[in-house]
Amino acid sequence: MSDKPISPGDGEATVKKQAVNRGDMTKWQWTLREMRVNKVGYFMVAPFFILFLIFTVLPIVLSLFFSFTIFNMLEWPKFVFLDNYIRLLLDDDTFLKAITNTFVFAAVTGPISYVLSFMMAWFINELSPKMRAFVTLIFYAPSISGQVYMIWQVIFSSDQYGYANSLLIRFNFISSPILWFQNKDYTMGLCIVVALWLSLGTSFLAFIAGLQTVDRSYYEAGAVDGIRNRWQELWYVTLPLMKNQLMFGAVMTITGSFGFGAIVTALCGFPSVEYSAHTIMHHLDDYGSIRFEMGYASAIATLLFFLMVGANLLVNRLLSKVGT
Amino acid sequence: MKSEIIKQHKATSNKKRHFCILLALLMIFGTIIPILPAMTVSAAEADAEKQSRIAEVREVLSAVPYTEYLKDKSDLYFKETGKLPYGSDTPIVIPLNSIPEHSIEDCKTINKIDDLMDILKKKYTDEEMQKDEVKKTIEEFNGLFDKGKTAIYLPDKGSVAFNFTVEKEGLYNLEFTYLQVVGKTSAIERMIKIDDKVPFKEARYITMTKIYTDDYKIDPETGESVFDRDIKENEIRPSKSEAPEWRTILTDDSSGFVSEPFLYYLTPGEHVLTLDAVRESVYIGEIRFVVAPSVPIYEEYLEQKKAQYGDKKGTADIKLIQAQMPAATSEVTIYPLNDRTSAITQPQDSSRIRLNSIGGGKWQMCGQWIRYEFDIPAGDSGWYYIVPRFKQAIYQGVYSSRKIRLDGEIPFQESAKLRFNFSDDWQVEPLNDGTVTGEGKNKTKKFFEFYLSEGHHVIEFEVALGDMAELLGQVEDSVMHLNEMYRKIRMITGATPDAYRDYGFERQIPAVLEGMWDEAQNLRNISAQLEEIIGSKGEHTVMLEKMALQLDKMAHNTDRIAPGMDNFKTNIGGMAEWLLERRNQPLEVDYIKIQPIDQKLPKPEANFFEAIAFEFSSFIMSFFADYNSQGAMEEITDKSKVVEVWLGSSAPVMGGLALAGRDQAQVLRQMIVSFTQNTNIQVNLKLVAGGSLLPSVLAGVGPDVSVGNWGGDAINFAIRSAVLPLNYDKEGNPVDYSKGSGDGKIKSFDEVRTFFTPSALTPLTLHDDTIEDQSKLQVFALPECQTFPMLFYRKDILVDLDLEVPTTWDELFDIVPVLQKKNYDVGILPGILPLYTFMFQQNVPIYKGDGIEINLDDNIALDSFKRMTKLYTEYKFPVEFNFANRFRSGDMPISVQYYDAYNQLTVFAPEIRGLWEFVPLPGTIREKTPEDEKWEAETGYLYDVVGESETGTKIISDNTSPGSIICTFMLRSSAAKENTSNAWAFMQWWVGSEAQGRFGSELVAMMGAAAKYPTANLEALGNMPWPTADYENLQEQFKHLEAVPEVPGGYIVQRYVDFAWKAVYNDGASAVEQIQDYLVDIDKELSRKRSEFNMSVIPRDKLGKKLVIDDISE
Repeated sequence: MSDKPISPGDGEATVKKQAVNRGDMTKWQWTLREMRVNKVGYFMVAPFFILFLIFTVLPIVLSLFFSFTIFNMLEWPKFVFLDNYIRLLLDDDTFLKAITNTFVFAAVTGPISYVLSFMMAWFINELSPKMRAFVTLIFYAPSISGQVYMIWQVIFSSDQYGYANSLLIRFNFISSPILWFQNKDYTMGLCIVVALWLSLGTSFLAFIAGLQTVDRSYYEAGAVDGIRNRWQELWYVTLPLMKNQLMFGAVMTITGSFGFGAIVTALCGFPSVEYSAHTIMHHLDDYGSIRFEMGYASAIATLLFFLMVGANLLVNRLLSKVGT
Repeated sequence: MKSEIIKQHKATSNKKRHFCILLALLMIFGTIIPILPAMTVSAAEADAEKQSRIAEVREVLSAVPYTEYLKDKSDLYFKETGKLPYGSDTPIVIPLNSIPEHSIEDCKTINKIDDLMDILKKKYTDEEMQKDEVKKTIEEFNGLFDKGKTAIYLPDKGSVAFNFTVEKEGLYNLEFTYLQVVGKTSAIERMIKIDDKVPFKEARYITMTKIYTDDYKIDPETGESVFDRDIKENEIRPSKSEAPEWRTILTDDSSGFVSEPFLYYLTPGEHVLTLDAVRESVYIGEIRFVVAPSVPIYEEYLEQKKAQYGDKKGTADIKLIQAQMPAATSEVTIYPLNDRTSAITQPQDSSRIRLNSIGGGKWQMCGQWIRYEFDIPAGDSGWYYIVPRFKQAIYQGVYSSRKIRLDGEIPFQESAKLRFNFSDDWQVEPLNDGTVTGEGKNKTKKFFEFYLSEGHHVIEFEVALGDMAELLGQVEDSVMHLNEMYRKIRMITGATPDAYRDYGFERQIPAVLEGMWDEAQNLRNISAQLEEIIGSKGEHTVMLEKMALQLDKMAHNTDRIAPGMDNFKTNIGGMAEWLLERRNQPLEVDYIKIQPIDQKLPKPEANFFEAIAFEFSSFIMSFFADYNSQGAMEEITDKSKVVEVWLGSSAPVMGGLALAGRDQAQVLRQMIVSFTQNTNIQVNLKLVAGGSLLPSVLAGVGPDVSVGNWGGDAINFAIRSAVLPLNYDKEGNPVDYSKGSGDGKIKSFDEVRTFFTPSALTPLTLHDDTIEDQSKLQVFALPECQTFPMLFYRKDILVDLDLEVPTTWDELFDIVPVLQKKNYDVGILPGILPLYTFMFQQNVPIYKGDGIEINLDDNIALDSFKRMTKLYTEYKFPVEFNFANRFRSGDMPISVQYYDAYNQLTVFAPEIRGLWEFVPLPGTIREKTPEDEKWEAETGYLYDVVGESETGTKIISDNTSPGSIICTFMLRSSAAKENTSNAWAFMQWWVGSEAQGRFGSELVAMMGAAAKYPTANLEALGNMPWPTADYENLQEQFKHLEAVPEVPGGYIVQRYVDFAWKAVYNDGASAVEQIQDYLVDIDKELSRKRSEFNMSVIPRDKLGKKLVIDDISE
């Protein structure tokens, strides 16, 4: 392949160093050559890459494939092309409900928890180091202690002895217990509250770390350049310098709020009453593990995947505006 | 114009109305007057009957504790003579040779061997008659007849009354000589009444233990008993068999709180002794009222024996008695164990299983005993120590107690309170009661010496409560009193007391407040005594004193009662729990050494090097051991013939608290050893993560058999062809996996299906209307457990309120106001369960056809749904509640629960033992239909007829309950491996009577005597040690069970029914409208799912045109 005709403008010198010039070869050849040169690097990244390929990329591709089939997990899949998507988008009321709920969840919990995390991180960053470590632990505690959100189920138990019910009954607001997590009027609200309570998670830690990495000298330089108050300092100095952490936090929050499901199940049961807190995750679960319709479930998963990708792009756009 | 007409109309209608009212009144009075006398008479009669029934229950429940009984009776005497009023020295023998008066049908006197043979022939099949146990029974009777005595057979239900005459007034012990009836594995239990009255509370549970022996193998070379071994030289646990033998006991307290035998007070004259059967039938050889000779204290014993035999020390070097080989035990669950915690437990092996100890947690309930036999050689009579090597590592800081009987007698009083202290290590100590002699350095425990004469001896070790017995008894009484107080206060304050309200307790319940003072004082006394016995303050004393303090406060200032109620309840529960735990007296024993008193004691534990060597070689050998082949008696070369069995770690667990997946696997694994031993089929049991079954079947690496699955899984997997059918294949050809296994040990499907009620197989059957012969429907799994709701109620509370347990829903609704007035709740789990109950009770199926369409648009079904929602909207039953807690505290005296809640209650709420019961569900009153007749004819289970309608049809009460099951099935991977016949062999063994029965008794060993496993196997259920009354209720419900068939898409029904009823509850929506909204959705989903599996569906144009019924009679 190296004896491919050379374009006249390149002259003789390039003939000798043909391998160096990218324009001389196809993209494939170039990649191969680069790989050969950097083989140590590839070798070192291989273990992770192989695992990543098998356990992350492959399932996504497979799920994409299965979304065009009818597949019950036990028998060979049947190819049906777009049927699943047609049914999902045009003939599935529950999915519409789920998608609405998911967006409401994401729209409410996503931004609020993101801003909340950052604000908390910002405040905590002002504390003395020892105090900071302690307060961080307290705020982070709900999300590391696993199923501790079940405490909400005790508080809002449907039993007449549940805290909320027993208080309301004692002060004569109600006469018979309210089925908090079994009442379509309350489920969404309560789940959002619990989600927010849990939201000071990984992104919160990332923000604290990000705030720590900002060099003091920038602030001095900023002051010299005419920054007048803390808000300006935050907007023009701090935030641009921790863009990476902001991005990380955003991705975590988005996946978190779109994938919010386990907690709803634990609190409201599955499915939640009249699908009032049914999210896409639940819909996926419903078809995947109860109805054994993996093809349909894959279609849901694919849509969810693209939704998340879209949301990420959007956030990326927004974050690029930071500091301008 | 219009208004005038209306006015006119009004005027006339007013006149008309008056006239109508007059007429109506006239008519009502006219009809009532003649009826009135008739009604009042019959109502009065019925009422009197009801009152007498209630009074009877009340009397049984209100019997005083034994200690109070004894105090009352001896007070009578103390005032005059100052002595305990023992009765006459000549025993009162109760005649048994004629059938007593008021006796029941099956009760028989046995005067000669033919009488016995009649009974035996009725009871056993010809095959069973050949068993050793039955032969032994006959032998024992021959021995009895030789002595010129007779016996009587008492069946396991009903009561028998004996007349007898007393000459001298006083206190007597009651002595029984009895022989166990070969059959079930539970102890014999009777309630004793004297003159138709339960003398004291404890007389409700008089227990007589049975005798079991192990079937050892005889070593041909040495002629000694040994354990059998498998091909890998592991020892195999011997099976147990009953060993009937006449046994004489003095009746005593089965819970162990009273350590002396009971004394009954008898006045001169005629009396009646009544034995009410609680469980198990029994042969009684003799009943006597005697005054038992008093047992000497240890010093007296020493003195007496030394005076008689001198103080020659024992000289014999007697072989160790290996504890794992007892001569007899009182329970099937006391069996040899494999101890690996010590290198010198005898015998021990680092790689193989050696059965080397006995007891532990399986020998901890009062009254359980183990018997050993030994010989003192001729010329070696003398004084000996009895030295066990033992371990009590379960309850920290406390000791376990045992009492011994040497040659049938308690040698001295202290030997009824032997102590075995807590330690993580094995200990070796001569028997002692913990008494310490000497001071400072010379401080030693006082070891008991026993005089053993030459010849054969029998020693029995029995679990007892020792020094703590009486105190624990007092705590139990106290808990009972406190509970009663709580209930009485609660009747006034309701479930959520108002802290700021003046309830006027002084006026309403002065007696309770009085009782609080006494109880507080009593608790302080107990606490002080406990401290003295145990030697320190601790958790126990703190708990009692806390309670006492609270009582004082509450009695002192009644304003504190209302806010303190929650705390009060918690404290009572805490006391009851502590009591329950303290009653367990576990002890593991390695060997018992009978040694001359001057010999050195054996060392208790291995030294450092022995221990290291043992642990190291165990570790190395663990790499080579093949755990699957444990119990195999022949080498198996073909590994593909090993049956792979999976048990999901999140497998649904029925049967109570302690049995999570892991324990279940442990027990099952032990049982599999004996399966392998009998069939030579190896089984590899794996505990797998929940949810891994489906993916692995998909990948083709699944198991042959999966156990512990939800009933719904079978059909769910089957329609996706992951599970193999057990009777017919797809084309309708019969399948028989038991074929070819020859010797008839492996049962075929048709034999196995008779183990269960027909309803147990309903959810495991694939229903298909296109199959012509409906008896040829495919069945895909075998049921393991079957449970269903029953009605639990508190006897004491209903009696307090003068109520009887409701047998129909109408009766239940009638008493609801009475209960609610006293702040009591009724608990019925909401949702689909009551709906199914109502529908089944009116013979309305859930689905039309084979599941093609939902049947909720049926008029009765809609009405049932409405009735269900009314329970919560109109009757205000709580929707969510903690059953065990509220039943225990008495908040909720009536509740519908799955019957395995029985376990939870017996374990969790010991303080209300005997105060509650479960009965079949309330029934729906309806006319008998031809289908019912057909069903009665087919099954032989009859409905309760309550009356007759005008047209002459019978009115019945249908109390059908919706059952749900857990099942075992065979996966398609076993067909691929051509291993189906082995897999089937395992399945039919596991659901069979023997394995299920044993699983049940293993549970008892693990959870205590009250544990009950809800097996689906009817025979196994009958063999489980249920109290007769409970078993009868259970059996009654078993006759009327129905199950919801599993159909493709069936999950949607529960979901939408749930949505619908919640909407009714939350928003007050109309029940009928709500459910109708969902009917089309349900049908759509059913059709969609059915079409996925190529099954017939409702035509599209019919879908959605469901009949709309606007008006259901209110």
